[in-house]
Amino acid sequence: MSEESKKEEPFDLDRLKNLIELMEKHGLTQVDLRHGNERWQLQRGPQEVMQVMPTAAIPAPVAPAATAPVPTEAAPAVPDDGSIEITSPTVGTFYNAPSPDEPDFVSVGSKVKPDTIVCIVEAMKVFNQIPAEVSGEIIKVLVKNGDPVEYGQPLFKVKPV
Amino acid sequence: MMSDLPQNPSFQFDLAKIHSSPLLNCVDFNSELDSTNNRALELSKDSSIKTPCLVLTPKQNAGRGRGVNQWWSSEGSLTFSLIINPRDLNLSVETWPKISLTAGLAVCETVRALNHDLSLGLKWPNDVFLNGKKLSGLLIETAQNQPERLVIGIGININNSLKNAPEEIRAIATSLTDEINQNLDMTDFLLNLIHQLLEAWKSLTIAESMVIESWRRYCILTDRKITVTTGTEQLSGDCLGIADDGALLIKSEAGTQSIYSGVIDQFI
Repeated sequence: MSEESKKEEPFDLDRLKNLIELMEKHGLTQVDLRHGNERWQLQRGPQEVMQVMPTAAIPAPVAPAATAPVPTEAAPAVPDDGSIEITSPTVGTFYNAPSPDEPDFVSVGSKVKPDTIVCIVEAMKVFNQIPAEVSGEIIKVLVKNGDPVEYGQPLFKVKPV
Repeated sequence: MMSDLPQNPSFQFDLAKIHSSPLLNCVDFNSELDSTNNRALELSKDSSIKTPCLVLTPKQNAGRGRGVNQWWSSEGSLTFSLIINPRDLNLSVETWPKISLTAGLAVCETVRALNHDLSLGLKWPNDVFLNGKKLSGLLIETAQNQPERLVIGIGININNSLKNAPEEIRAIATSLTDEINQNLDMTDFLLNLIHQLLEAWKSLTIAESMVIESWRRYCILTDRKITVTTGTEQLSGDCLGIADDGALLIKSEAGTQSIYSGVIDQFI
Protein backbone atom coordinates (compact mmCIF):
# COMPACT_ATOMS: atom_id res chain seq x y z
CA MET A 1 0.00 0.00 0.00
CA SER A 2 1.37 3.35 -0.96
CA GLU A 3 0.03 4.85 2.30
CA GLU A 4 2.27 2.49 4.26
CA SER A 5 5.40 3.61 2.46
CA LYS A 6 4.49 7.26 3.03
CA LYS A 7 4.38 6.73 6.79
CA GLU A 8 8.10 6.17 6.84
CA GLU A 9 8.88 9.46 5.12
CA PRO A 10 9.81 12.42 7.38
CA PHE A 11 6.88 14.20 5.79
CA ASP A 12 4.51 13.67 2.89
CA LEU A 13 5.79 15.69 -0.07
CA ASP A 14 2.57 15.31 -2.09
CA ARG A 15 0.54 16.67 0.80
CA LEU A 16 3.06 19.49 1.24
CA LYS A 17 2.79 20.38 -2.45
CA ASN A 18 -1.01 20.39 -2.23
CA LEU A 19 -0.87 22.62 0.82
CA ILE A 20 1.42 25.11 -0.85
CA GLU A 21 -0.87 25.21 -3.89
CA LEU A 22 -3.87 25.82 -1.61
CA MET A 23 -2.00 28.60 0.19
CA GLU A 24 -1.11 30.25 -3.10
CA LYS A 25 -4.65 29.87 -4.43
CA HIS A 26 -6.19 31.56 -1.37
CA GLY A 27 -3.40 34.05 -0.74
CA LEU A 28 -2.61 32.51 2.65
CA THR A 29 0.72 33.45 4.20
CA GLN A 30 0.62 31.13 7.18
CA VAL A 31 -0.73 27.66 7.91
CA ASP A 32 -0.40 25.71 11.14
CA LEU A 33 -1.62 22.12 11.04
CA ARG A 34 -1.61 19.50 13.75
CA HIS A 35 -2.47 15.83 13.54
CA GLY A 36 -1.56 13.59 16.43
CA ASN A 37 2.10 14.18 17.17
CA GLU A 38 2.71 15.77 13.79
CA ARG A 39 2.71 19.53 13.33
CA TRP A 40 3.30 21.46 10.11
CA GLN A 41 3.88 25.20 10.09
CA LEU A 42 4.15 26.84 6.69
CA GLN A 43 4.83 30.51 6.10
CA ARG A 44 4.92 32.46 2.87
CA GLY A 45 6.54 35.85 3.45
CA PRO A 46 7.21 38.68 1.01
CA GLN A 47 10.37 36.82 -0.06
CA GLU A 48 8.33 33.62 -0.53
CA VAL A 49 10.34 31.89 2.17
CA MET A 50 8.80 28.59 3.19
CA GLN A 51 9.45 26.59 6.31
CA VAL A 52 8.32 23.14 7.26
CA MET A 53 8.84 22.34 10.92
CA PRO A 54 7.72 18.93 12.13
CA THR A 55 7.89 19.29 15.92
CA ALA A 56 9.02 15.75 16.73
CA ALA A 57 9.86 12.42 15.22
CA ILE A 58 6.64 11.20 13.65
CA PRO A 59 5.48 7.82 14.89
CA ALA A 60 3.40 5.79 12.46
CA PRO A 61 -0.20 6.67 13.18
CA VAL A 62 -2.23 3.76 14.55
CA ALA A 63 -5.44 4.59 12.70
CA PRO A 64 -6.86 6.01 10.58
CA ALA A 65 -3.87 6.76 8.39
CA ALA A 66 -5.51 8.76 5.64
CA THR A 67 -7.42 11.47 7.56
CA ALA A 68 -6.57 15.05 6.74
CA PRO A 69 -4.63 17.16 9.24
CA VAL A 70 -6.88 19.22 11.51
CA PRO A 71 -6.47 22.99 11.06
CA THR A 72 -5.92 24.91 14.29
CA GLU A 73 -6.91 28.49 15.11
CA ALA A 74 -4.32 30.07 12.87
CA ALA A 75 -5.00 33.38 11.20
CA PRO A 76 -6.28 33.90 8.61
CA ALA A 77 -9.11 31.38 8.52
CA VAL A 78 -11.06 30.28 5.43
CA PRO A 79 -14.86 30.35 5.74
CA ASP A 80 -17.12 28.38 3.38
CA ASP A 81 -17.83 31.25 0.98
CA GLY A 82 -14.20 31.41 -0.23
CA SER A 83 -13.47 34.62 1.65
CA ILE A 84 -10.68 34.81 4.19
CA GLU A 85 -11.08 36.00 7.75
CA ILE A 86 -8.47 38.09 9.53
CA THR A 87 -8.55 37.03 13.15
CA SER A 88 -7.33 38.59 16.39
CA PRO A 89 -4.04 37.21 17.75
CA THR A 90 -4.88 38.26 21.33
CA VAL A 91 -7.74 39.24 23.60
CA GLY A 92 -8.21 42.98 23.89
CA THR A 93 -10.02 45.99 22.49
CA PHE A 94 -10.36 46.54 18.74
CA TYR A 95 -9.43 49.95 17.35
CA ASN A 96 -9.99 50.77 13.70
CA ALA A 97 -7.73 53.86 13.67
CA PRO A 98 -4.24 54.73 15.01
CA SER A 99 -5.81 57.34 17.30
CA PRO A 100 -9.30 58.80 17.80
CA ASP A 101 -8.65 61.77 15.50
CA GLU A 102 -7.12 59.84 12.62
CA PRO A 103 -8.83 58.04 9.70
CA ASP A 104 -9.59 54.31 9.82
CA PHE A 105 -6.81 51.94 8.77
CA VAL A 106 -9.17 50.20 6.32
CA SER A 107 -12.86 50.01 5.47
CA VAL A 108 -15.09 47.97 3.15
CA GLY A 109 -13.60 48.15 -0.33
CA SER A 110 -10.03 48.76 0.85
CA LYS A 111 -7.41 46.74 -1.00
CA VAL A 112 -4.96 45.08 1.35
CA LYS A 113 -1.62 43.35 1.02
CA PRO A 114 -0.13 40.98 3.60
CA ASP A 115 1.73 43.85 5.30
CA THR A 116 -1.19 46.32 5.33
CA ILE A 117 -2.11 47.28 8.90
CA VAL A 118 -5.85 46.75 9.30
CA CYS A 119 -6.43 47.58 12.97
CA ILE A 120 -4.98 47.74 16.47
CA VAL A 121 -5.86 45.27 19.20
CA GLU A 122 -4.97 46.64 22.62
CA ALA A 123 -4.59 44.61 25.80
CA MET A 124 -3.05 45.96 28.99
CA LYS A 125 -1.77 49.03 27.15
CA VAL A 126 0.06 47.00 24.52
CA PHE A 127 -1.07 48.42 21.19
CA ASN A 128 -0.63 45.60 18.70
CA GLN A 129 -0.86 46.62 15.05
CA ILE A 130 -2.45 43.79 13.12
CA PRO A 131 -1.32 43.17 9.51
CA ALA A 132 -3.75 41.66 6.99
CA GLU A 133 -1.40 38.75 6.20
CA VAL A 134 -3.39 38.24 2.99
CA SER A 135 -3.86 40.05 -0.31
CA GLY A 136 -7.38 41.02 -1.27
CA GLU A 137 -10.28 43.37 -0.69
CA ILE A 138 -12.02 44.00 2.63
CA ILE A 139 -15.63 42.92 2.11
CA LYS A 140 -16.85 43.13 5.71
CA VAL A 141 -15.72 44.66 9.00
CA LEU A 142 -16.99 42.25 11.64
CA VAL A 143 -16.40 44.34 14.78
CA LYS A 144 -16.91 47.96 15.80
CA ASN A 145 -14.35 50.42 17.10
CA GLY A 146 -13.95 49.86 20.84
CA ASP A 147 -15.41 46.33 20.82
CA PRO A 148 -13.80 43.74 23.08
CA VAL A 149 -12.37 40.86 21.02
CA GLU A 150 -11.31 37.34 21.91
CA TYR A 151 -8.28 35.34 20.82
CA GLY A 152 -8.93 34.00 17.31
CA GLN A 153 -12.09 36.09 16.80
CA PRO A 154 -12.70 37.05 13.14
CA LEU A 155 -12.24 40.81 12.63
CA PHE A 156 -12.50 41.26 8.86
CA LYS A 157 -13.65 39.30 5.83
CA VAL A 158 -11.36 39.57 2.84
CA LYS A 159 -12.02 38.53 -0.72
CA PRO A 160 -8.67 37.13 -1.82
CA VAL A 161 -7.07 38.12 -5.13
CA MET B 1 23.86 70.52 19.34
CA MET B 2 25.36 70.88 22.80
CA SER B 3 23.71 74.25 23.33
CA ASP B 4 20.31 72.53 23.12
CA LEU B 5 21.11 70.24 26.01
CA PRO B 6 19.93 71.05 29.53
CA GLN B 7 22.42 73.19 31.46
CA ASN B 8 21.52 71.85 34.89
CA PRO B 9 23.81 68.84 35.60
CA SER B 10 20.93 67.05 37.32
CA PHE B 11 19.13 66.90 33.99
CA GLN B 12 22.06 65.56 31.97
CA PHE B 13 22.93 62.04 30.92
CA ASP B 14 26.39 60.48 30.92
CA LEU B 15 26.27 59.39 27.30
CA ALA B 16 29.68 57.67 27.39
CA LYS B 17 28.46 55.47 30.24
CA ILE B 18 25.19 54.69 28.44
CA HIS B 19 26.98 53.86 25.18
CA SER B 20 29.36 51.50 26.97
CA SER B 21 26.60 49.65 28.86
CA PRO B 22 26.58 45.93 28.06
CA LEU B 23 22.78 45.98 28.44
CA LEU B 24 22.29 47.84 25.17
CA ASN B 25 23.21 47.03 21.58
CA CYS B 26 22.16 50.40 20.20
CA VAL B 27 21.69 53.92 21.58
CA ASP B 28 19.86 56.69 19.77
CA PHE B 29 20.24 59.97 21.67
CA ASN B 30 18.36 63.06 20.54
CA SER B 31 18.63 66.49 22.18
CA GLU B 32 14.92 66.97 21.53
CA LEU B 33 12.06 64.77 20.27
CA ASP B 34 8.31 64.94 19.85
CA SER B 35 7.93 61.42 21.22
CA THR B 36 10.54 58.74 21.87
CA ASN B 37 7.99 56.10 20.84
CA ASN B 38 7.48 57.78 17.45
CA ARG B 39 11.24 57.85 16.92
CA ALA B 40 11.60 54.23 18.07
CA LEU B 41 8.80 53.09 15.74
CA GLU B 42 10.53 54.89 12.88
CA LEU B 43 13.87 53.24 13.72
CA SER B 44 12.18 49.85 13.99
CA LYS B 45 11.34 49.90 10.30
CA ASP B 46 15.01 49.22 9.75
CA SER B 47 15.36 45.51 10.38
CA SER B 48 19.12 45.89 10.85
CA ILE B 49 18.67 47.88 14.10
CA LYS B 50 20.20 45.87 16.90
CA THR B 51 18.16 45.29 20.05
CA PRO B 52 17.79 46.17 22.85
CA CYS B 53 17.95 49.68 21.46
CA LEU B 54 17.52 52.75 23.65
CA VAL B 55 15.90 55.90 22.27
CA LEU B 56 16.58 58.72 24.70
CA THR B 57 15.95 62.42 24.92
CA PRO B 58 16.21 64.94 27.75
CA LYS B 59 13.43 66.95 26.12
CA GLN B 60 10.24 65.30 24.88
CA ASN B 61 7.65 67.71 23.56
CA ALA B 62 4.66 65.53 22.77
CA GLY B 63 4.86 62.26 24.64
CA ARG B 64 1.86 60.10 23.95
CA GLY B 65 -0.33 58.15 26.32
CA ARG B 66 -3.40 56.06 25.64
CA GLY B 67 -5.68 57.55 22.96
CA VAL B 68 -5.39 61.32 23.00
CA ASN B 69 -3.62 61.43 26.38
CA GLN B 70 -0.28 63.23 26.50
CA TRP B 71 2.61 62.74 28.91
CA TRP B 72 3.30 66.01 30.72
CA SER B 73 7.08 66.20 30.74
CA SER B 74 9.61 68.81 31.72
CA GLU B 75 13.37 68.94 32.10
CA GLY B 76 14.53 66.37 34.63
CA SER B 77 11.89 63.81 33.76
CA LEU B 78 13.14 60.56 32.31
CA THR B 79 11.51 59.80 28.98
CA PHE B 80 12.79 56.99 26.83
CA SER B 81 11.76 54.08 24.65
CA LEU B 82 13.32 50.69 24.46
CA ILE B 83 13.11 48.64 21.29
CA ILE B 84 13.23 44.94 22.08
CA ASN B 85 12.94 41.75 20.09
CA PRO B 86 10.39 39.62 21.97
CA ARG B 87 11.77 36.50 20.27
CA ASP B 88 15.17 37.08 21.88
CA LEU B 89 13.35 36.92 25.21
CA ASN B 90 11.26 33.90 24.13
CA LEU B 91 8.07 35.93 24.50
CA SER B 92 5.24 34.93 22.16
CA VAL B 93 2.45 37.29 21.07
CA GLU B 94 0.11 35.85 23.71
CA THR B 95 2.49 36.97 26.47
CA TRP B 96 2.90 40.54 25.21
CA PRO B 97 0.28 42.00 27.60
CA LYS B 98 2.38 40.63 30.46
CA ILE B 99 5.39 42.50 29.11
CA SER B 100 3.32 45.57 29.91
CA LEU B 101 2.49 44.50 33.48
CA THR B 102 6.09 43.50 34.07
CA ALA B 103 7.43 46.84 32.87
CA GLY B 104 5.48 48.67 35.59
CA LEU B 105 6.77 46.17 38.13
CA ALA B 106 10.37 46.84 37.01
CA VAL B 107 9.87 50.59 37.58
CA CYS B 108 8.62 49.84 41.12
CA GLU B 109 11.58 47.60 41.87
CA THR B 110 14.04 50.18 40.58
CA VAL B 111 12.56 52.91 42.78
CA ARG B 112 12.36 50.55 45.76
CA ALA B 113 16.08 49.81 45.40
CA LEU B 114 16.76 53.49 46.17
CA ASN B 115 15.98 52.59 49.80
CA HIS B 116 13.94 55.64 50.66
CA ASP B 117 11.05 53.83 52.35
CA LEU B 118 8.56 55.04 49.76
CA SER B 119 4.99 53.88 49.40
CA LEU B 120 4.91 52.40 45.90
CA GLY B 121 1.95 50.95 44.06
CA LEU B 122 0.78 49.76 40.66
CA LYS B 123 -2.49 50.76 39.07
CA TRP B 124 -3.48 48.16 36.49
CA PRO B 125 -2.10 47.67 33.96
CA ASN B 126 1.16 49.55 34.52
CA ASP B 127 0.85 53.02 36.06
CA VAL B 128 3.29 53.45 38.93
CA PHE B 129 2.06 55.39 41.96
CA LEU B 130 4.19 56.92 44.67
CA ASN B 131 2.57 58.12 47.88
CA GLY B 132 -0.81 58.04 46.14
CA LYS B 133 0.18 60.04 43.06
CA LYS B 134 1.24 59.00 39.58
CA LEU B 135 4.99 58.74 39.11
CA SER B 136 5.31 56.86 35.85
CA GLY B 137 3.35 55.87 32.75
CA LEU B 138 4.09 53.33 30.05
CA LEU B 139 2.91 52.72 26.52
CA ILE B 140 3.82 49.71 24.40
CA GLU B 141 3.47 49.58 20.65
CA THR B 142 4.30 47.16 17.87
CA ALA B 143 6.36 48.37 14.98
CA GLN B 144 4.58 48.28 11.65
CA ASN B 145 5.52 45.17 9.69
CA GLN B 146 8.29 44.30 12.10
CA PRO B 147 6.87 41.53 14.25
CA GLU B 148 10.24 41.13 15.89
CA ARG B 149 10.17 44.61 17.35
CA LEU B 150 8.28 45.92 20.36
CA VAL B 151 8.60 49.52 21.51
CA ILE B 152 8.25 50.17 25.23
CA GLY B 153 7.82 53.86 26.00
CA ILE B 154 8.37 54.95 29.59
CA GLY B 155 7.99 58.32 31.29
CA ILE B 156 9.08 58.78 34.92
CA ASN B 157 9.18 61.97 36.95
CA ILE B 158 12.64 61.92 38.48
CA ASN B 159 14.37 65.30 38.97
CA ASN B 160 11.55 67.42 37.59
CA SER B 161 9.90 69.02 40.56
CA LEU B 162 6.20 69.51 40.02
CA LYS B 163 6.05 72.32 42.57
CA ASN B 164 5.59 74.83 39.77
CA ALA B 165 3.30 72.62 37.68
CA PRO B 166 -0.38 73.47 37.21
CA GLU B 167 -2.55 72.60 40.22
CA GLU B 168 -4.47 69.91 38.29
CA ILE B 169 -1.17 68.14 37.58
CA ARG B 170 0.13 68.44 41.17
CA ALA B 171 -3.11 66.94 42.48
CA ILE B 172 -2.56 63.68 40.62
CA ALA B 173 1.17 63.39 39.90
CA THR B 174 4.45 63.51 41.74
CA SER B 175 8.18 63.21 41.08
CA LEU B 176 10.95 61.44 42.95
CA THR B 177 12.77 64.68 43.76
CA ASP B 178 9.59 66.06 45.36
CA GLU B 179 9.24 62.95 47.53
CA ILE B 180 12.84 62.43 48.63
CA ASN B 181 14.05 66.05 48.47
CA GLN B 182 17.15 65.30 46.46
CA ASN B 183 18.12 64.91 42.84
CA LEU B 184 19.07 61.50 41.48
CA ASP B 185 21.71 60.50 38.95
CA MET B 186 19.57 60.12 35.82
CA THR B 187 22.07 57.85 34.08
CA ASP B 188 22.36 55.40 36.97
CA PHE B 189 18.58 55.28 37.40
CA LEU B 190 18.10 54.67 33.67
CA LEU B 191 20.64 51.85 33.47
CA ASN B 192 19.31 50.24 36.67
CA LEU B 193 15.82 50.37 35.23
CA ILE B 194 16.85 48.85 31.89
CA HIS B 195 18.57 46.06 33.83
CA GLN B 196 15.40 45.47 35.87
CA LEU B 197 13.23 45.49 32.75
CA LEU B 198 15.34 42.93 30.89
CA GLU B 199 15.58 40.69 33.95
CA ALA B 200 11.84 40.93 34.59
CA TRP B 201 11.00 39.96 31.00
CA LYS B 202 13.37 37.01 31.20
CA SER B 203 11.62 35.96 34.42
CA LEU B 204 8.31 35.86 32.55
CA THR B 205 9.41 32.77 30.65
CA ILE B 206 10.81 30.89 33.64
CA ALA B 207 8.88 32.08 36.68
CA GLU B 208 5.71 33.74 35.48
CA SER B 209 3.75 32.97 38.64
CA MET B 210 6.40 34.72 40.75
CA VAL B 211 6.14 37.80 38.54
CA ILE B 212 2.36 37.86 38.97
CA GLU B 213 2.73 37.38 42.74
CA SER B 214 5.19 40.29 42.92
CA TRP B 215 2.78 42.40 40.91
CA ARG B 216 -0.09 41.60 43.30
CA ARG B 217 1.93 42.93 46.24
CA TYR B 218 2.01 46.36 44.58
CA CYS B 219 -1.61 46.39 43.31
CA ILE B 220 -3.38 49.47 44.67
CA LEU B 221 -6.82 48.52 43.33
CA THR B 222 -7.38 45.23 45.19
CA ASP B 223 -10.39 45.40 47.54
CA ARG B 224 -11.35 48.86 46.31
CA LYS B 225 -14.44 49.97 44.45
CA ILE B 226 -13.46 50.80 40.91
CA THR B 227 -15.02 52.05 37.70
CA VAL B 228 -13.50 50.93 34.41
CA THR B 229 -14.26 51.98 30.86
CA THR B 230 -13.76 49.08 28.49
CA GLY B 231 -14.16 50.07 24.87
CA THR B 232 -17.64 51.54 24.79
CA GLU B 233 -18.88 50.15 28.11
CA GLN B 234 -18.44 51.25 31.71
CA LEU B 235 -18.23 48.76 34.57
CA SER B 236 -18.27 49.29 38.33
CA GLY B 237 -17.60 46.85 41.13
CA ASP B 238 -15.16 45.55 43.70
CA CYS B 239 -11.66 44.86 42.44
CA LEU B 240 -10.42 41.37 43.28
CA GLY B 241 -6.89 42.10 42.05
CA ILE B 242 -5.40 40.42 38.98
CA ALA B 243 -5.84 36.92 37.61
CA ASP B 244 -2.95 34.58 36.86
CA ASP B 245 -3.06 35.73 33.23
CA GLY B 246 -2.81 39.39 34.25
CA ALA B 247 -6.46 40.32 33.68
CA LEU B 248 -8.07 42.75 36.12
CA LEU B 249 -10.85 41.08 38.10
CA ILE B 250 -14.02 42.99 38.93
CA LYS B 251 -16.86 41.58 40.98
CA SER B 252 -20.24 43.16 40.39
CA GLU B 253 -23.88 42.04 40.46
CA ALA B 254 -23.25 40.45 37.06
CA GLY B 255 -20.57 38.20 38.57
CA THR B 256 -16.80 38.34 38.33
CA GLN B 257 -15.41 39.65 35.08
CA SER B 258 -11.88 39.53 33.67
CA ILE B 259 -10.81 42.79 32.06
CA TYR B 260 -8.01 42.73 29.49
CA SER B 261 -8.38 46.24 28.20
CA GLY B 262 -9.76 49.31 29.87
CA VAL B 263 -9.14 52.59 31.63
CA ILE B 264 -9.64 52.88 35.38
CA ASP B 265 -11.78 56.00 35.72
CA GLN B 266 -12.15 55.89 39.46
CA PHE B 267 -10.98 53.95 42.50
CA ILE B 268 -12.14 54.63 46.06
